[in-house]
Amino acid sequence: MTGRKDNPGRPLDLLTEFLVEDILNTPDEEILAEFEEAGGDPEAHAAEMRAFLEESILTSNKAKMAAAKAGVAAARRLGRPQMHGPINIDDARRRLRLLSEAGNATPDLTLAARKETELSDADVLGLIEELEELEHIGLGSDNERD
Amino acid sequence: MGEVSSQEAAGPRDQTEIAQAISSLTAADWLRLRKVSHLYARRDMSAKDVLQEAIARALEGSRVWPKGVDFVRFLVGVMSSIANVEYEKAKLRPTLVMIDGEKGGGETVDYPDPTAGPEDQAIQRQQVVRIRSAVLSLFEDDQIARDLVEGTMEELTAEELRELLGLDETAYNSKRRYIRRRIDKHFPGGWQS
Repeated sequence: MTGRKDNPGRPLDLLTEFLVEDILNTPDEEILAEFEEAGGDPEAHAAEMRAFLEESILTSNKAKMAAAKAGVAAARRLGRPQMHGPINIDDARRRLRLLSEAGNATPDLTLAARKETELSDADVLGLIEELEELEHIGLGSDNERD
Repeated sequence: MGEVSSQEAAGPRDQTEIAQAISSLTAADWLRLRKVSHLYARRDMSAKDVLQEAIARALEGSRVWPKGVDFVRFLVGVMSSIANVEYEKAKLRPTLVMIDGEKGGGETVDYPDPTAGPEDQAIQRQQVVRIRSAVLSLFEDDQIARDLVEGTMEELTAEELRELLGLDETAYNSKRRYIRRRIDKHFPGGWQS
């Protein structure tokens, strides 16, 4: 979604966004018809996906729970605030606009932030969460400003 | 899309609501998620992995699904984020490197390999050039579609493209659907196919 200016995959990311927007806006009956035209059975596919999901969640649940517990414990030790609570969408948009104004201090998000007015609420929240995750692994704007 | 997704309110959802939303996903929703997951699949992460990870993050609460936001759109945002963050993490992935020990024996140490990033970028650049050329060749018979694809890949916004190509919103959406279907047929498994 955001991509960095030095990300060679950026053109493909943009094309992907373009296609995804169409997928999300295609009416149900057209999506179903496309799959049937290709020889697929939408209901069988849905059942398959649900089964796959249930199985994979059961398998990974134990490990994920352990990792989550370790993460919470580490956050407590470091006195780090929990990343997520209720998010105000106006605050999130304001934060993106500030990033945009910061220019090259935040190359990974500047481009996306520049288009803030064109982004849906979900996209804005996704960008903010992505920023938090990048900061967490040392790639975020704060890190680059230092 | 799903029944739960149309609810409007403020604040994040709890795990029960997310589980309900998953079980309320329709056959069309699953197909949308399948198509999108194929587009976000990466060399190290299959389409199913991307979708599974997005749902797992929603259930764990590491990604917040705010009320008032469609659930499928939310999952798509998470998949996009996973694909982007995976790319950044790949550049920092530690590599085992041999160094000389005091007794002359080799030791292996984990640290980010400074050459891993450029190599990865070179591979990705080649892949983008290959896909770009393949995609553009699909629209040799339709200059507007070709311009739309090319302009999108060159950072032009939808509004800029509509103005440049003289398309109103309906014509733009119709052309975008035509492009998406044609690309779907030639890249049924996404960019990795």
